[in-house]
Amino acid sequence: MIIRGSSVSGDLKLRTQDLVIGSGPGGSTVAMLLAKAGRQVIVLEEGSFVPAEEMTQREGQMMGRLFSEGGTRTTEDKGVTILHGQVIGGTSVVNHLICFRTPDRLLELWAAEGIDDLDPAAMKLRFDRIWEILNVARIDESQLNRNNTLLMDGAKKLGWKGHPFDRNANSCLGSGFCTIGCAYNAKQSAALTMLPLAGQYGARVHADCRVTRILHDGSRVTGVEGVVLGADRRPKAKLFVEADRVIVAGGAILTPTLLLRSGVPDESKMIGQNLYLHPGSPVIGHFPGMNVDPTVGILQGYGISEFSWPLNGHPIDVLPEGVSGPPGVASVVVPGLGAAHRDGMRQINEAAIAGVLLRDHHPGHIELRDDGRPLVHYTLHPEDAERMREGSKKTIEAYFAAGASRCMTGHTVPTEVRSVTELNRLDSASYAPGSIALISYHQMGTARMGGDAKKHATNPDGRLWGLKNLYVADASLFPTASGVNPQISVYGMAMRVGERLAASS
Amino acid sequence: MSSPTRRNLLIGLATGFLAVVATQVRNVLPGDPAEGHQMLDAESIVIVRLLAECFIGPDHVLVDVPLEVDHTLAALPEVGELWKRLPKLIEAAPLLEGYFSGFTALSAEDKEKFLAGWAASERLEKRQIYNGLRALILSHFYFQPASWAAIQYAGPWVGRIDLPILSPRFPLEVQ
Repeated sequence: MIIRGSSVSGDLKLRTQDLVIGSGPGGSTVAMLLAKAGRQVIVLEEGSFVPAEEMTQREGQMMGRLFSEGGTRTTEDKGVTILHGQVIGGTSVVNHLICFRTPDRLLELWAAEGIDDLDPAAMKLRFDRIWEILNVARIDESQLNRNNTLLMDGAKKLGWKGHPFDRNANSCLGSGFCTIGCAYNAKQSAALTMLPLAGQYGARVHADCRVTRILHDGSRVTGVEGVVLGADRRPKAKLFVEADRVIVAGGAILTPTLLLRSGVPDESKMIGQNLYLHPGSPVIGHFPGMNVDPTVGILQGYGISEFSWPLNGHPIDVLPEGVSGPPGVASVVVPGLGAAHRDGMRQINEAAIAGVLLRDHHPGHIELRDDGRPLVHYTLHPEDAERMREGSKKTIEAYFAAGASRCMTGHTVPTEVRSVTELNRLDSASYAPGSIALISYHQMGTARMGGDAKKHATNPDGRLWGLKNLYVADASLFPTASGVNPQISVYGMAMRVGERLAASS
Repeated sequence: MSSPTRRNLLIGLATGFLAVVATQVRNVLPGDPAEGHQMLDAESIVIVRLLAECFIGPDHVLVDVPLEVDHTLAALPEVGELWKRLPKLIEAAPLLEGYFSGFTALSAEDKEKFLAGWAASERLEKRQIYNGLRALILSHFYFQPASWAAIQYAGPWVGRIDLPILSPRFPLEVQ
């Protein structure tokens, strides 16, 4: 059952065996497994419950309702825009449905941190189960929109590896509004899958509840305190939940923020460190006279895996993916100002857009602002920037192979390339903060899991080394960046944590 | 020029400079919100409108961009308090960069030149402010239906194409 903040009158005082903070892929999966095991489970989510009937497909209306800080969060240097969902179902409500099973290379890398039961065979069982619950299926090439087929055509002509994505959809209509929530219940988000299942097993999900502090005595957690938010998103009542165990799954930005704010013991000093953002940067290919119409259809359907390390062992370690969004988002990506920008927007139906997803090798970190909100320190490292530059060049090559007349990157000072012989124009383009549009949809690593209390924030069970009954179950656990869209890796890691919690109760 | 005269001239110039700086510092502080607005004062509204003209071109009149921006800043009080200071910062900045007026009094050509200079600046803070204002203004223009015809964007399906909402595969109880 989902309980909205509007249905709560007076202060909210609760008692439970297991308390889960966050209702995205991580929190919902743990909640489902624990409730199924017969545990009393309460889930607290700061965001609201937004059903399909309230998804208006209007960016100006939905960004504020679905994204943390209305989608305005950036790194401290303003170089990267950080997007993550804050709604019942978390980021799974606003993602583009891409499903990658954690690649074997990555599982081996992570297992080397001292994490057991992470071998491909064990994870396959979990992924198979997640596949079924989320209704994941491979897109047929015939379902791709023109924006994605152009990237695919280019890759095929160059002999590069790539494939249409697996997606968690049910009868997708291809309306093209995945970014701001599915108005048809086609996207099989955690709000429509794991959470209802958790509810069937007895879990209670409280929306509009902001946890401000985890209460502990230095060795054990006793519960949490916070506030219930009103319709105006301001506190309307106090919240207190007493719990035997607490599992934090607020995502790799807000999980460490809560842990730091609560002053939990951390011998490793790794809480909030090891932040990977998977920055993505746009490449635009122009195809004059062609009706590409990138805003309609399956927005994100095809990726070039040739240059991915987790998927293909390639050192550039980038994953170019065909992707688009509604015009408000697109307007920020289209370079230039004044007449140049206006022309770019008027030609957008003849443009193909890709995001170059970078597996960043150099992390940033999070610290607390005076008001308790996160301050994200992350600047694209020069080595990462060089790989981003190479990835952008490869994407441009693919567009020229597909017949593009010119290509542009997302640089603040517009950078245009008119043929492959002009690719060296990118050599002098700056990747310093604020010189290139970078967007992060995937945040990871800020409570990394591993076998050494001095190096890792959480142990192989997902428990904080310093507390007996406080756990993490989201992308914060990842030891490194995933290099592929991480949704399924989050479900998989959370399932592993949930299984252990269920077995130990 | 005799030494006392030169000293008086220098004192006069220094006093004048300090007066200009003091005026600009006072001017960059946000005033009371204008009527119908919750965050932006009247001067900031003019600056945002002129910025919109630079970023978007003549079509900016199709949308009341300052009002849309004001709504968003009001809904995000923590970040809104910071953002609402930026327009007046932009107004004051050209005087410190060799222009002879504030942003609003620059010619259209100089406005674009000034902004392009900030886009390409070596100073991180200038690129940050440029990118922030650009994103805020462009997105709030293209969020609005009045902007869509020019880019041949048909708009949301909701309210335009009658399609059923699928029943969830797993029943969901909401209170």
